[in-house]
Amino acid sequence: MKRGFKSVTATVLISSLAVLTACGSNNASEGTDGVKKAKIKFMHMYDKNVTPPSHQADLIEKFKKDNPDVTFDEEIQSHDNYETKIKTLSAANELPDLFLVKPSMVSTFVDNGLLLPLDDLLDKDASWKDGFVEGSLDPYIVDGKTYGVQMSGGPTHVIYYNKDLIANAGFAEFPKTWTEFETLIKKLVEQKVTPISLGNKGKWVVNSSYISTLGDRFTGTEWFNSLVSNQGAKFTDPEFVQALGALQNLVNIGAFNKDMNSIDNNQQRTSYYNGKSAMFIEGSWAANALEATAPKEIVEKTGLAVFPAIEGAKGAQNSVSGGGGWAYAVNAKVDPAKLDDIQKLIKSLTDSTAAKLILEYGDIPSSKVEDIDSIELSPMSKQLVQLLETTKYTPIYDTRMSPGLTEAMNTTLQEMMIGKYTPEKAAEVLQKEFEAETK
Amino acid sequence: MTKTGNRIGRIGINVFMFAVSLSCIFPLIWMLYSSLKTEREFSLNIMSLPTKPQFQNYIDAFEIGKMGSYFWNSAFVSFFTVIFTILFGFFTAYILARFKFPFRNVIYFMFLTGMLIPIHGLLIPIFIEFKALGLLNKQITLIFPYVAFNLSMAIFLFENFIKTVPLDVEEAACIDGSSSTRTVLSIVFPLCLPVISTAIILFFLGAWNEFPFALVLIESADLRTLPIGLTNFNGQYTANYTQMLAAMAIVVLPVIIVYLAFAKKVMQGMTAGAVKG
Amino acid sequence: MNDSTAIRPKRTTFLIYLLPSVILFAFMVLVPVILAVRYSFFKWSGGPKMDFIGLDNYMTLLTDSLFWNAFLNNLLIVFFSVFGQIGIAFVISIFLMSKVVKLKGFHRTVIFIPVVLSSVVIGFLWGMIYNQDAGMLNWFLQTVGLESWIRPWLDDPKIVMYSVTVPIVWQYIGFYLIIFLAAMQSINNEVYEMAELDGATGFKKMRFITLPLLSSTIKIAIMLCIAGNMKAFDSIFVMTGGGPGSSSTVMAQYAYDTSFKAYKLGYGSTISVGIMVLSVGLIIISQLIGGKNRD
Repeated sequence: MKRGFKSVTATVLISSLAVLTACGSNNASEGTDGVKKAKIKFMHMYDKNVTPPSHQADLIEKFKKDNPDVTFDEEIQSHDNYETKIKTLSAANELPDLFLVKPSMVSTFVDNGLLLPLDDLLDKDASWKDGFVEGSLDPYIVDGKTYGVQMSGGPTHVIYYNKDLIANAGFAEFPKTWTEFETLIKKLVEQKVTPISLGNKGKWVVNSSYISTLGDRFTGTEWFNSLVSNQGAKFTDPEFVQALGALQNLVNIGAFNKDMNSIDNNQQRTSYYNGKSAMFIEGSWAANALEATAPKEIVEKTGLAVFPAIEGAKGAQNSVSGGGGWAYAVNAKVDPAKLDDIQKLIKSLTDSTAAKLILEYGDIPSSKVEDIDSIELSPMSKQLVQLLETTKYTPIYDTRMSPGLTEAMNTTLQEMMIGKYTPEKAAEVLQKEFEAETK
Repeated sequence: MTKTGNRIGRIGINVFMFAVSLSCIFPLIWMLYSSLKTEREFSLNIMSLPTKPQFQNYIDAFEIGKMGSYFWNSAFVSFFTVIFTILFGFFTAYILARFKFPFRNVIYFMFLTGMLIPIHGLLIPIFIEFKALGLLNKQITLIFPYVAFNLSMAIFLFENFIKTVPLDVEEAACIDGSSSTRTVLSIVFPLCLPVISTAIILFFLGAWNEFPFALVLIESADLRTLPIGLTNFNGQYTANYTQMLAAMAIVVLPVIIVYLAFAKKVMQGMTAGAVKG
Repeated sequence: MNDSTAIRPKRTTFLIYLLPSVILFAFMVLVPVILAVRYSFFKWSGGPKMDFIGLDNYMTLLTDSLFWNAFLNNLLIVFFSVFGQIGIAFVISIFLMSKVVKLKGFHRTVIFIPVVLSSVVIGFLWGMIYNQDAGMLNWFLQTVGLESWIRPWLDDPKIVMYSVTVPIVWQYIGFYLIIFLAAMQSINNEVYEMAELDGATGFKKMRFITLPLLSSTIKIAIMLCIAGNMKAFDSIFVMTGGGPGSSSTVMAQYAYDTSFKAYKLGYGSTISVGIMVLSVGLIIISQLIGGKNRD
C-alpha cells in the first residue's frame, strides 16, 4: 500500500505532463484531403432544432439535401454568442469561409482586409442580382463594392397597439399626429394603463426601434448620411436635439413603465399580453412572436402602426427605420475553388424563391416576391405587409454607425431617459465620442 | 428576566437561521416548479404554480439543447480539471509552504495574481495563443485554462493550510527512511482533507459553470459544454423562458446532487482535520 | 516558512512538484496577460491592422469617467461584501457552533447551495425577485403593508448598485461560512472551557478567543473577497445589463463592452490591465491595514 503511493504519483504526474506536451504536435495531421471537395467553413446562427424555426435554417437544410456533394464544417451559435465569437475570430484573423455580418461591422472588417467583395459572385447571375429590392444591399457597400448579401430586413420600428384600450381612451383609430399621440398617452396615464411597455435592458431597443425612426422624422435622411460619412452633420444639430427632446418628453409624460431599463424586449411584451399596457414598440420580428405566444383575444385586438407625423419636422413623415440586418459575407482569404459552391449557397438562401418562404415565415425578404397574393399569410403578416406599402425605409442607426458609436449611443440614450442628461447634454456626449472616433 | 430574554434570543436566532436557509433554497424550488409551466403561464404570472406540469420542456431541452452530449463534455472537463488542479496545486503549495528557495516569493506572488485577472479581457489573447499552439477545439482544450486559472486558488488554500501542519511528523518519517513523496502523500495530503473537499466542490463548479472560454475556444457542437447549450434557448428576438428554466434545472440538479452527496464528507473532513490540526 | 533540510526532497523531485504548475500557469495566464499588455499600446479594431499609439490609451483611461465610475461601483461591492459576506458568515458560523441553533446540518448544507448555482442563474432569479410588477419583493412589501417602500429596484440609478450587490453578498455567504466553520472547528475546545471557568460568556468568548484565533482566516477571506469582487460581472449583467445608463456598470463589463461591443480591442486591453493594477493595489492596501491591526 505504502509503496503504491510513490508509483501512483509518479505515473499521474508523468502522464499529465505527457498530456501537456502531446497536444502541441496534434495539429499537423489536420491536412486537407485533396481528393474530395474541401469543406466549406460556415458559421451562422440558424439552428434547425430551435423553436420557433427560422427560414434560414430551413433553406440551409434544403441546400444540403439538394447538393450532397457540398460538405460543410458548420458552427452554429445563438445570436449573442455569435457576436462575441465573430469578433474574436476577426481579431485573430481566423474567420471562417462564409459567415454573417451586420452593416456596422462591414467598414471595420473591410478596413482590415477581411472581406471579399461579392460583386463577381452577384454578377454571375443577373436574375439573382436584379431580384433584390432596390437599395437592400446598400448598407453593405463600401467604396462601390458590395461585401454582404442580405436575406431579409423588415422594419425595426412597428407599434403594436391594443385597439380596445386605445378606443377606451377616445381614439377610434391610431393618432395621425404627434400631438394627438401625446394626448393619447396622457389619457392612458389617467386611466392607469401603461401607454407603452418598454424593455430596454439590452439597450439596443430604444436605439433601433425608437430613435432611428424618430430621429429621421426630425432630421431627414440626408443628415444621417452626412453624419456617417463625416461630411458636416453633427449630433448637436438642432433637429437631432429636438428628436432627443421628443423622446425624453415621452418619458416625462409617463409613457413608459417604471422598470423599462431592467426588463428586456421579451419581457416588454408581457404586460401588453396581460392587457395592462396599450402598446409596445419593436421590429417586425415581434409579429411572429406575438402570434405564437400572446393570448388569442390580444392577438385579435392588435393593430399595427408607426410613429405618427410630426408637425413641422424636416424629414419624410412616413419613414420607418428598416432594411439592413444580418447578411452573408465571405472571407477574403477564401480558397477560390470553393467560391462556386458558396455562390450557389448564398443565392439559394436569398433569391426570390427563398423570399417566398421568408415571407411565409412572416419576415420581410430582401428579394422581390412574385405574385404575393398566391402566398398564404398569417393575419399579422398581412397587416405588416399593408403597413409597409405606405411607408419608406430609412437607415437603422445601430446597424450603420460604427460599433463604438452605437455602444456610446445605447448607453447615452438610457442615461437621458433616466434624466441624467438633458437632450442637449446627450447630444454633446455623442458628438464628443464621434469626434474622438473620426479623429 | 434573563431566562425569558435568553429564550427570546434563542427563538430569534433560530428564526433568523431559517430565514437565511429559506432564502437559499427557495430559488431552486421556484426554478423547478416554474420549469414545468407553459411559456404563456409563465409570462402571465411568474410566481404561480403550473396548472398542468409540462414535462415537454425537459424533452425539448434535451432535444434542442442537445443537453445529453453537452452533459458528458461538461462532466469530462470538470472531472479532469478537479484532478489536475488538486494534484498540481497540492504539490506546488507543499513546496511553497515548506521550503526556501530562489524566486520562491516571486512564484507565490505570481500565482496569487492569477486570482485578480478578469478573464473577459484575456479572451482574444488566449484564442490567439491556442490557435498558435494548435490547441483549439479539442476535447481536452478547456482543461488547460480551467486548471491554470484554478491553480491560484488551489495553491493559496493549500499553502495556507500546510503551513499550519506541524513539521515534526514529516521529519520523523524522513528520518525513518520514508521517501519524501511517500511522506507527503501519506502524511500531509490526508491532513489537507478539509481543504481538498472544499476545493473539489469549488473547482468542479467553476469548470461546470464556466462560459467565456467554452464559447471562444470550442467550435464543434460535439465538444460544447452545458453553459453554451443553455444559451441556445435565447434567440436575438425571442426567448423561451420555461424551456430555459428546464435546461437550467438539468444543469443545476446534478451539481446539487453531487454536492449533497459530498456535503457530509466536507463536514467530516473538517472535523477530521480539526482533530489533528 | 519553516525550511527543514530533513524533509527536503531531491532536486528532481523538487522540480517535478513545482514545475508543472508553473509551466501551465505561465502558458495559460502569463502569456495572455503579456499579450494583453502589448495590445494596450495599440489602436486596434481587430484583424491585421494595428497602430502603435504608445501611452495614448492609458492617458484616455486616466480621464475616462465611465471607467472610474465603474471602479467606484466595484469598490461599493467590495465594501459591502467584506462587511456583509464575511460579517454575516462569521455571525452564522458562531450561531452554528453554539448550542442554540437546531438542525445545524440542514442549515450548513442549505446555505452553501447558492454557491453551487452559476452566476447567470442567480442573476436571472434575482431579476425576477426585483421585478417591478410581478416580483416577489414588491409583492411581499405590499402584503405586509409597506406599499411606500415599493420601488423600481433595478431602475432607480440611486439604488440600483445596492440592489445588485445584495445577491452577490447573499450568494457567497456559504463559501465563507465553510471556511470559518473549518477554522473554528480547529480551535481547541479546551481553550473555551478554560475561558468559561474564568467566567467568559458568549459574546466575550467570541470577542477575545474566536476573533483573535481566526484573524489569519479572516485576512484570507478578505483577500479572496476583494479578488472575487473586483471582477464581478455575470450576475449584474443578467440583472441590469449595466444600466440604467451606466449606473450599475462594473469594470469587467466595461472592458467586455469596449472590446466586444464597441470593437476597441486595444483600449479594452488597457482597461483589463487597469483592473489588474487596481486590484493588486487594493489588496496590498487591505493587507497593510490588516497587518497593522494585528498584535
